[in-house]
Amino acid sequence: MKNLLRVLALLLLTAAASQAAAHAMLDHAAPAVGSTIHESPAQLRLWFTQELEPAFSTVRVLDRDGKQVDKQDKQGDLANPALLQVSVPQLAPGRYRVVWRALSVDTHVTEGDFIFDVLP
Amino acid sequence: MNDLLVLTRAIHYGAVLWLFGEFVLFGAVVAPACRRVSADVPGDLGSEQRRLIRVASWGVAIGIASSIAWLLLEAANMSGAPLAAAISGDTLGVVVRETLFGRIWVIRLALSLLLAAMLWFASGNPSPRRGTVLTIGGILLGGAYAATLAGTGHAAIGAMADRYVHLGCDAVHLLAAGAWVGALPGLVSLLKRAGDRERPQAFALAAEATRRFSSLSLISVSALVFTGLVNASYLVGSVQALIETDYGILLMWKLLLFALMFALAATNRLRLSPEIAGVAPLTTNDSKRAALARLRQNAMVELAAGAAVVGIVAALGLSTPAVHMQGPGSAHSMPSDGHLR
Repeated sequence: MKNLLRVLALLLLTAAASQAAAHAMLDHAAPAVGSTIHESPAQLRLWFTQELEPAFSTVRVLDRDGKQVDKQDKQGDLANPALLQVSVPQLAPGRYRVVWRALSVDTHVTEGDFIFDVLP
Repeated sequence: MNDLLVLTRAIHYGAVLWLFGEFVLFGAVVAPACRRVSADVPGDLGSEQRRLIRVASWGVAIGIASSIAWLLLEAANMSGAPLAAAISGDTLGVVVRETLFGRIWVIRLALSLLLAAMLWFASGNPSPRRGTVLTIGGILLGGAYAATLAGTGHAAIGAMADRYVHLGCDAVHLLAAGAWVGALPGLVSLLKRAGDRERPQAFALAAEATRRFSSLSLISVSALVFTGLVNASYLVGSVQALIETDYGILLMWKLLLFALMFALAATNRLRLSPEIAGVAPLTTNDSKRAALARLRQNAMVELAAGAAVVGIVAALGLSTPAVHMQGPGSAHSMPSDGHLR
């Protein structure tokens, strides 16, 4: 029993020593989360904390009325499997909401959204 | 849907570990024990071989059926579509062709079909050649079938070096669990048959097998503890996360059950095995049989605890690892309004 307690104590210590992730959360985006920009971007790029399955990961750009305005051509990136991107047409000034759904390679789904503003 | 996925995963994990455990039990415990103590080696080996083929065929069948159910449920989970919609149309094809889970699923289906073919080949009249094919083929294919489960879970993610270390540890963890917990149904069955007073030879075989199994489980437990520590370091992150998250609490339950199994295995090795073998002082035939009966009871409790552990593992794989549930300031704080589904 004493040995068992030692093993458990070692487990706790080791567990405290390092960490890693398991779900794909949004790390950063371009345009940045909550940013204000003066020029319409050609595309939106979202970098996640984990590698994605592009087949079932989505990103949509909605205008103030909730209408989808992106070109519906979302794709992953072979060089960086944690990147998801979608093209957008020339965006008129206004507020846009980006809604994403990420499926990480360990089959976990995460969802989220953020906004950015385009100024004239 | 999530409950169904946990149940399906639990059945699949259970079947795969059981399958591998049966092959290991035969190759490392039962066959050598037969050769050592049996008065009728071909007869006893032949009957054990026939039993192995029968139970392994069930293991393969349950493994294939549960893996198909897992694929269908996973297609619904991945696509976010209702089950009926996900399993019709092209969604299944996309899962199989374009996701890591799907590609590993295909490899594992191929392994299970190879196992079925090998069992079919070995199912003729027992012979040394068929026994060798069954032992080596079963351990290799069954081992690959169990180890590749690692690629379908949390170990599939991470940076390159970390990923390989985590995958390797997870694979060894699965193999060690299979060699110990997966072999328990076969051991319980062997001990039950040994209780037959009409066949004293069966008792001698069980006594020798128990001694060998005890050594095998010692190796398995060591491997489980070491690889468990590494896996926990990847997925738990901190003592606080172990105590405060659902993932951590599930893991604590798993550790508690493991401690119970470990204590029973230690009792079997240190107290009951010497009594059964007759090396402990003052052992009589009756006390040997009583010790064997107690060992069988312990093995059944171990098996029940092991089944509960497999259920927890099935749920852990779908839970958010504790390391991810730490608050702002951790490596994974959310700059946008993101959430886990």
